[in-house]
Amino acid sequence: MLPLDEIMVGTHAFFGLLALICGVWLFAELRKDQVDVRTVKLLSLAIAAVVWIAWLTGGFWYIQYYPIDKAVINAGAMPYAHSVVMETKEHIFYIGLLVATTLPLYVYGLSNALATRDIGMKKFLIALVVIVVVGGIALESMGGLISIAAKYSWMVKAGG
Amino acid sequence: MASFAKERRLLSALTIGLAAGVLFTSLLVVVKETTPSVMQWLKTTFSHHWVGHGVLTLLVFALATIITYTFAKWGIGPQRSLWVVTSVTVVGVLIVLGFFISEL
Repeated sequence: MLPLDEIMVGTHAFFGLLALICGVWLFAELRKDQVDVRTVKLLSLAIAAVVWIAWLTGGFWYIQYYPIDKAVINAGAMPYAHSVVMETKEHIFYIGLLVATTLPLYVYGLSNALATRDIGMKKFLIALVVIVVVGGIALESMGGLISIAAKYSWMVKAGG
Repeated sequence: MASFAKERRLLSALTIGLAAGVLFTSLLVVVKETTPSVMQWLKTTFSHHWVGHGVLTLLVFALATIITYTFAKWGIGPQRSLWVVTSVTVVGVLIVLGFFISEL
């Protein structure tokens, strides 16, 4: 029998990591003097897609499977892992979702400005990408801490 | 020239939509956590409060973007858009994080 809960949460973290990788790549592309607009378009679409997949897989896991972990975390030595870290993560994720969703809309809609080396537009898109990358690092770190809290709490509950 | 105006309108609309969505999602956290009836309504309507939170956030973003694109007679440039997006993101994160830390 497949451990669907582990697969979902692992998939969620994996796609979050993909968003980070694409974000760093896009940052490098936007820093070039002559921006390859086709590559920038593809990467912006990829970021939006992987962030949405991360949201859907993480959301499914959060609703279906997390309540059991939540109860154990809240009863354990690191209740702040839920009350502060998870609560913050699950809500600021929506900020990242909005930024990631608007990224390809900005890129496709403003591709002429990019092609004509509009410095202001480049700086703006770079700022959006920095938000995606910094936010992604923060969210991955929070997810790691929540995982540690869950493992530790379950271990203590099991008598370890 | 027409293309530039259209691009400026799109930039403005997306930026206003993004700002509206970010501020809405941050403030909804405080409202639903402090007002049980709002939390209950989200749970009842969307089966889970977090799902409803997401749906409403995306709706606010979409509506604000469309309304701004359709009706706004002004435009904001990339530099102002950069400040708007950066500021609301920082403010939004601080609202959410600050609220849950204050609830400790």
